[in-house]
Amino acid sequence: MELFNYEFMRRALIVGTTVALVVPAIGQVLVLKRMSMVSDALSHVSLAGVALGLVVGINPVLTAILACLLAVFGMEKLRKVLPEYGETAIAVVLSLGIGLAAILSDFTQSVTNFNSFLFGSIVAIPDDEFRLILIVGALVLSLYLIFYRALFSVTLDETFSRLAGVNVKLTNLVFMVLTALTVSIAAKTVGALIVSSLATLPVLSGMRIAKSYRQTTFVAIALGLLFTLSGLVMSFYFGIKPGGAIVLIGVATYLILIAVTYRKGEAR
Amino acid sequence: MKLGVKGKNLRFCYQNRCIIEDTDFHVDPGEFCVIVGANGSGKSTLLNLLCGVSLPQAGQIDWVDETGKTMDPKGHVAYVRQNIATTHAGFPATASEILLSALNGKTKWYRGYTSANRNKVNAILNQVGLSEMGHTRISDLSGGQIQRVFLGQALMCDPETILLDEPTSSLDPAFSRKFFELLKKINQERGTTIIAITHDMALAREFADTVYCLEDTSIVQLEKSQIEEELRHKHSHPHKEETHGTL
Repeated sequence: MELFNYEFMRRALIVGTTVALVVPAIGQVLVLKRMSMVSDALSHVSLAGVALGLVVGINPVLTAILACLLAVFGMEKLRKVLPEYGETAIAVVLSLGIGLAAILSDFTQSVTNFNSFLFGSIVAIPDDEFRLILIVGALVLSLYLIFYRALFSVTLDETFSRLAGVNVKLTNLVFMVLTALTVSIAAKTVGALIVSSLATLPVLSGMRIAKSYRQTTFVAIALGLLFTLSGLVMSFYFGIKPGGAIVLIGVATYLILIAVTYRKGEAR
Repeated sequence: MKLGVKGKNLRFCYQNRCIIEDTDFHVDPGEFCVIVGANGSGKSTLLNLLCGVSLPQAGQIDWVDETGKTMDPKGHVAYVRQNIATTHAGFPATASEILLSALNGKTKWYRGYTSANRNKVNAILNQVGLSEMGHTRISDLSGGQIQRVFLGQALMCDPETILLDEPTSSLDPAFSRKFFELLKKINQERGTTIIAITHDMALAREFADTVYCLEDTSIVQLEKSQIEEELRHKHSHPHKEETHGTL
C-alpha cells in the first residue's frame, strides 16, 4: 500500500495503534463510572498545557500531561468539597482549561502548532513527542492490565470492594493518573476536541454487542483500532483531518449498531 | 466463626440534622436483624457507619465474634447496596463475572481464576436459584434476579455478616418474600449474620430475630406487640407505608 511508503504515515499508524489501544480501555471504566465528561474536561485542560508548553518552549505533550494530572486531582478535591454537586467539578475544570488555553494561545509563537492540538496532528509528530507517546502508552497499558480486575470491582461497587479487600483508594488514584496520561497523549494525536469521542464511542458500541465485561473490553479496543486506523487511511487518501474521520466513522458505526440491535429488540 | 456488631454511644449528624445521638446498638453473632424506619430516618446512614463508609462523630462500633473478640470487618462483612437492581441493570457483565469479582481483592492480578473458584460460582448461583444464568448479562435479567446475583456476589466472600440496604425495594411482594426466605435459609444454614433494611414490617415480623426502628435520633428495639400494632395501623391506613407514631 502506498501509505506505507511514507515515514510520517508509518509513524502515524504506530501512534494511532497505541492511542486506540489505551483510550477505549480507559473509556470503558469512565463510561461505566458515568464519568465520560471527565475526558472532555481533561482534553480542554490538555490544551492549556499544550499552550503553556509552546509558550515556554517545553515539549507540549509533557506540559499537557502535567496539566491533566493537576486537573484530575483538582477535580477530585472539588468533588469532595461539593459532594452534592460533584459533577459541577467537571464543568469548573473544563472552564478553567479552556479559559487558560484561550489566553495562553495568544502568547504562542506558532498558531498552526497550537491548532494542531484541537483536531489532532497524528501525521505530524516530531521525534521527541513520538517517543513520549509510546512510553506513556506502554505505561498506561501495563498499569491498566495490572489493575484490570480491581478497576472492574471498584467500578461495580466501591463499598463492597473495600470490604472484600480491594485497595479502593490506590485503584482510584491509579485510574485518575491513567486517565490524565491517556487524555494527554490522545489530545495530541486525535485532537483535544475529539478525544472524549474515542473514549466513549467504541465502548458504547461494544456494550451493544458484547456478551460480557471482558468481551466489551476486547470489542471496544478492536473498534477503537478500526476507527483510528481506517480514519488515518481515509485522511491519507482523501486529504481530510484524521481526528474528524476517526470520530465520524465511530458515530456511523454506533448508529448502525443501534439500528441493528434495536431491530433485534436488544434495548442496551 | 459468627460475627456480630456492637455500637456504643453513637453519634452521627449531617450539617443541619442529627441522625443518631448517644445511641447503643447491637446485633448478636448469627442473628437475623431487620432495621425499619421512616424515609430519611437514617437507616442507610446506620448501615454506612456499620460498614465503615462513614465514621461516627462520637462513640464506637466494634465487630465481635462469639467469644467477644474484636475483628476487622474487612474480609468478614459483605454489603449489598440499595437499588442495585436499578443502578446496575445496564452494567455489561455476566452473573459469573460479578460473582468472581468478589475474589478480586484476594487474587493476584497475574493469576487467573481457578477451577475451584468457578465451581464455587456455580454452587452459589445454584443456591440463589440462578444456576442457568451464569453466562447471562445482568442487563438481560429481571430486577429480582439481579438482586440475587449481588447476594451471590456477597456469598462468594464467605462473609460472617451480610449488610443489605433495602434489598427488596424494587421487587414485588411475592419476590420480596422469596428473597427474605433465601436470606433466612443462608442465615440458618451458614450461620451468617444478616442485617437488612426494609420498609416491609410483615417481612420483618416473619423472618427477623430482632427488629430495630430508627426514630428521633435513637435506635429502638421493637417488641412483637409493637410490630403487630404497626401492622394493624398499616392495614387500617393502607396508603401509609412508613412507620408511624411511637415507632
